[in-house]
Amino acid sequence: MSDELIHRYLDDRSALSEGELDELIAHLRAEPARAAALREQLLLDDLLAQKLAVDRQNFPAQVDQRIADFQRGQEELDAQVTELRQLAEAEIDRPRTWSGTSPWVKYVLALSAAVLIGGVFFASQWLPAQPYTVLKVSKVEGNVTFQQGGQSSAAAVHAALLSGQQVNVPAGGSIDLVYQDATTVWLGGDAAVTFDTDRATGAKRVRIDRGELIASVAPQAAGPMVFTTPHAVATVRGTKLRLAVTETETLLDVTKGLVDFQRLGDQNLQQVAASQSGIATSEAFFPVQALAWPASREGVVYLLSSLEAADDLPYTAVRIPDTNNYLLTELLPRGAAQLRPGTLQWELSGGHLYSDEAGQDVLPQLTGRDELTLEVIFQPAASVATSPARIVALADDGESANLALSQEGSDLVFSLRTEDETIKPLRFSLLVANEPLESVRPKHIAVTHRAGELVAYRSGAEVARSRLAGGTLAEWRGGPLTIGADSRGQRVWRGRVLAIVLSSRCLSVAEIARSEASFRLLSAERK
Amino acid sequence: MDERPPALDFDSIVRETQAHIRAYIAGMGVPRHDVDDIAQDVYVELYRFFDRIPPEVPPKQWLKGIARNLSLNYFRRTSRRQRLQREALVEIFLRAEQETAPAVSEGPVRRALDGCYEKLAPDSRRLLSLRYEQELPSQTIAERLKSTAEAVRVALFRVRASLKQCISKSLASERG
Repeated sequence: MSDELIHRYLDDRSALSEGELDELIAHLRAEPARAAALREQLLLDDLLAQKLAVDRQNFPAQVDQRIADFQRGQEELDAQVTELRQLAEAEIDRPRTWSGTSPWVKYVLALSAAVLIGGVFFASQWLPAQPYTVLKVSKVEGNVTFQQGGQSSAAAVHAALLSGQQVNVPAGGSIDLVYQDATTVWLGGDAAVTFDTDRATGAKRVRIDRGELIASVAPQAAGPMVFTTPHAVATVRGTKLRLAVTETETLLDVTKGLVDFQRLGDQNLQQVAASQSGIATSEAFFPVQALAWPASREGVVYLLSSLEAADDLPYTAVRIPDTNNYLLTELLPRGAAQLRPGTLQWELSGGHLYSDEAGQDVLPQLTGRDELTLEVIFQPAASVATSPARIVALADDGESANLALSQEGSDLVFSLRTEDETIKPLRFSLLVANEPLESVRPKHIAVTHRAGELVAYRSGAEVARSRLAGGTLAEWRGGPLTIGADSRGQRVWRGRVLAIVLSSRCLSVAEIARSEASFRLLSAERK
Repeated sequence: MDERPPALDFDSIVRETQAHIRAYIAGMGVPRHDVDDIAQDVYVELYRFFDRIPPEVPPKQWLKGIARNLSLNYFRRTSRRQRLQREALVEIFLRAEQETAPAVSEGPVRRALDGCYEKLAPDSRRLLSLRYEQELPSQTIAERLKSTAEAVRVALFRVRASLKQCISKSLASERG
C-alpha cells in the first residue's frame, strides 16, 4: 500500500487525499530510508522534466526576463519618488519668502510630501491607468473591430490592441494576435474577447465572452496567464490550448503543457494535461477526457485520418459490426496519387485512391438506415475543372452513386441515393465570400442526412439545407469507395485529402463544429 | 549606493546552480508545474540581495535557504490541514537530505544525466518521452501502451532509480 501511495504521490503531488497523505507521512517518518529514496525520485523527476519538457528548457532566459521586469519596476518607482522629492523640496524652500522659518510649517510640508509620495505609489496601483499596448495584430480576415467605451475601430495588420479593448470577430472572420513575448492568440468567427494585463504583476488576462480562441503561450515570467469565461477560469503558465465558449459551456482542449481549469463558484480544480479536454458549464464540471479526432467513434463506419499513422500510412479503418472494433483497411493509390512528402496526407495529382474492401464493409452498415454524416477535410488544387470532379464517392459508376461529394468550379455538390428517386443533389459554395480559390486552406466539409433533410456545413458552420430529400438508404448498391475519381477512374479531382469520416448517424451542429476545430488544432500541433 | 551584481557573476551563478536549485525545490514536494516559478523568485532574491550574502557562505547554500523559505511560503497558501501536511513533508525531505550522501544533489548532474539517459533502453526512453516530453498522465500512457496506470508508475519509478544509480557512479568517478 505504501509503495502505491509513493508512486501516486510521485505521479501527482496533489493526487493523495488528506487521509492518504497522513498515511504517507507516518510511513516516511517510520522509515527514513524510504523518505530518502522518495526525495531522490523527486529530484530525478524534476531533472528529467528540465531535460525533456519543452517549456522548462530555457530557464536562464526566464530568469533574465524576471530580472528585467524587476529592474523596470524599480526604475519607474525611483523616478516617481525622485520627482516628488524635488517637488516637495521646492515647496519646503518656498515658505522662507512668506512665512518665516516656523519649524511646524516644515514639519507639515515634510509630512505632506511623504503622503504625496505614498499617494502616487498607491495611485499607480489602484487608479485607472492610461491604455497601453497589449498585443499586435499579425493577420486579419473579415471585418474585425476593436471596441472600448462605445467607440469602435477596424482591426488591421500591425495595429496595436490596447489594454481593456474588446475584439469582436464576425462570423466567418478571424484574427491572429501576438504578444511581445511571442505568445500568440487566434480568434475564430463570432467571438468577443477582451485583453488586459494585471497592473501589479504584468501577468496576462483574457476575458472570453463568446467564441473560439487558440493560444500558444510562451513561458510566463510575470505570473500565470488567466483566461476567464462566463463558466470557468483557465490558468496557464506555458502551453498550447483551445477554448470554445458558447452560451451554455466552456470547452478546453490542451495540446501541450498543463492547464488549471476551475469552474466559477466551484472550489474543485481540474488539471487538464496535454492531449486532454475538459468542459465546464454553469451547473457542472464534466470529467477530463482524452483529446482525440474524431472526438467520438460512435457510429463511425469508415475513418481515414492523416493525424494518425498505421504502417507509415494514414490511419484507414472500417468498423466491424459484429465486434464494434475497427480493422485497418486497404486504400490503394492509382496513377500519380501518393503521400505528400513528410506528411500522412494523400496528394492525388491526377491519380486517385480505391478500396473494394471498404466499399463492401461499409455497405451493410448504412443500407436501410435513414441517417448518415460524411465529413471530408481536403484542400483542392489551385485550378479545377468546371465539370463535376469526384472528391469522394461510394459505388460510383459515373452516372450515379450511393453517395458522392463532387467539386464543380468553386461549388461543391453532394448527392445521395435513397428510395425516393426525387432527391435533389445539394449544391453549396466551397469558398467564403471573396476567398480566392488559389489560396484556399484545407476545408472541413460535412453533410448530414436525416428524416428527409440534407444539411451542409463548411468549416463547422451551416451553409446549405435541402428539405426535398426523402426516404431511407434502401436502394444502395455494392461498389468500391473511391477518392479523387469515380470507380472507372473518370471524373478526376485534383487536390489533397487529409481526412474522411463516414458515420451511420446524423451528427449535431455542435459535434460538427467541435470536429472541425479539433482537427484544425491537432493538425496544427503536428506541423 | 546601489551596488548591483556584476552581470557575469550573477549569470554564472544562475547557470551553475539552476538545475540543482530547481530539483531541490521539487525535492520538497512542490508540484512540477510550479517549481520554475519559485526558482525564478529565488534568483530575483539573489539579484536583489547579492551584495548582502556573507562572503563565507557559498551562493548555492544561500540559494537553498531562500528556496526552502519560498517553498514553505508556497505551501502556506493552501488550506491549514494541507499546509501542515506539506510542511511535515518538507521537514521529512530536508532531514533525508542531511542524513544521506549527496548523490544526485551535487556536481555536474545535468551532464551526468545526459550521459546516463543515452544508455537507457529504447523502451525506457519512450516511457520518459511520453511522461516528460509529451507530459502525458500515467493513465493516458497506460492506454497507449496497453498497460495499467500503476504499472506505468512502477516502470517510471524503476527507470528513475536506475538513472540515479548511473548518475551517482558517473559523479563519483569524476570526483575520484
